[in-house]
Amino acid sequence: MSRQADSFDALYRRHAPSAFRRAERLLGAADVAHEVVHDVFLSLLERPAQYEGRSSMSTFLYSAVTHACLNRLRDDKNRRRLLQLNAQAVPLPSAPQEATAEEWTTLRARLARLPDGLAQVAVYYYFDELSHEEIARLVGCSRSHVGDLLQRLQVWTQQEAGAA
Amino acid sequence: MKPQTRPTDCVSNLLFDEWLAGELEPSAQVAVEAHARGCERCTTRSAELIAQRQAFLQQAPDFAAHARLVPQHRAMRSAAASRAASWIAGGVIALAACALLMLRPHAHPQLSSDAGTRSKGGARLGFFVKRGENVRRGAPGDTVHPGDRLRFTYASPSPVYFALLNSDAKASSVFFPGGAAQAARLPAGTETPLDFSVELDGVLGVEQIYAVFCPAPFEVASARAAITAHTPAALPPDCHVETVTLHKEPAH
Repeated sequence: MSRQADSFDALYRRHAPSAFRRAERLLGAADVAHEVVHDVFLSLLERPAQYEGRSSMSTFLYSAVTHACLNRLRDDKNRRRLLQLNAQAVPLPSAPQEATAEEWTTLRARLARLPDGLAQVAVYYYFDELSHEEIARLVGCSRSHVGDLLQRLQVWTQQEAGAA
Repeated sequence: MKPQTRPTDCVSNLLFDEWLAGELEPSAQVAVEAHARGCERCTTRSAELIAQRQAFLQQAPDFAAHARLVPQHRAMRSAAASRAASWIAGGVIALAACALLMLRPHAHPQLSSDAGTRSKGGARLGFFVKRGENVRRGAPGDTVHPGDRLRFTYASPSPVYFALLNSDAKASSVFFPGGAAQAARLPAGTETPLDFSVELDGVLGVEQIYAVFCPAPFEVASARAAITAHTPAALPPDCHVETVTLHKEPAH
């Protein structure tokens, strides 16, 4: 195997485990999470320009995995299947956030309905439990804008609860 | 949605991931490790993440192995997986992998252009900084250290004649083409790596790098004279110069 291929595998070994952990947590299904991770790394292999100088490969992959998972959740067919996994959801890590399988299912269903910008911030804040500063770094905006988005997210959630 | 449960001073998953990937600056790395040593929650969390990482890699130790894990129920996905696996097996990914780790291409190099002219969509220069085992994209105004290695890329919609010059507090020199009197002719390319790297010497202070792109052949010495005399107008017609300023400081 070439030295360069070794290098890509080194990148895979450094980053694929965390990409999978997040995808599995977001989607609640290991097989779909594996597909997402595969798609993200294959895409990176084929079009490395998309990395575009993020502050780290980790931040790039947080964003890429989040987008890929949200797309899966929004896809009707996938969403139905993923939401049906409710009771059989993958064991969730004990930290950083405890939630029942039902709560996770509700969260995933909400993510699928949220506008894209809010959905991303919701993932980073509620699933990843990142700080405003870290979310700003991932999204590429100011901390105050993150605060604004989280406020809009609260309003959206309240309106949805009111409508239901 | 539930409020966050992570205490604000605890290490986030993102920070842990960057730590595990070796992406943190030394000071941030020390801070993460110091906090984790004294925090039961973070000690547990880091152990969990390391265990998850090991479990994943046992299952799929490399990309080709992972490709075999992925369910093949979609024809397109299946084709993509086998294509990726065969690329790795055949070593065909040379340029892509190299680009990822060392010479990562980019669409917007964000280089300054403070001399000559630059047409929209024209040739561009990019660069990457390798420090130890870490490689990051470089940007104008970056702080660099002696011993850092720079690698350069270019993008050009058409063949172009090219030279890369530099000047620091003590001298000016030619980075590329090494030892040639005439500028190198580069083929059209989209973020193509140049086949050399430069290790920064110990001269501290401002370092200017000049990328000279011309549509016709030119003498490197003439270009160097024009640049050092701050007379880019002396360059052949239709040339343009991109300038990158770096600040070389001692490593701590």
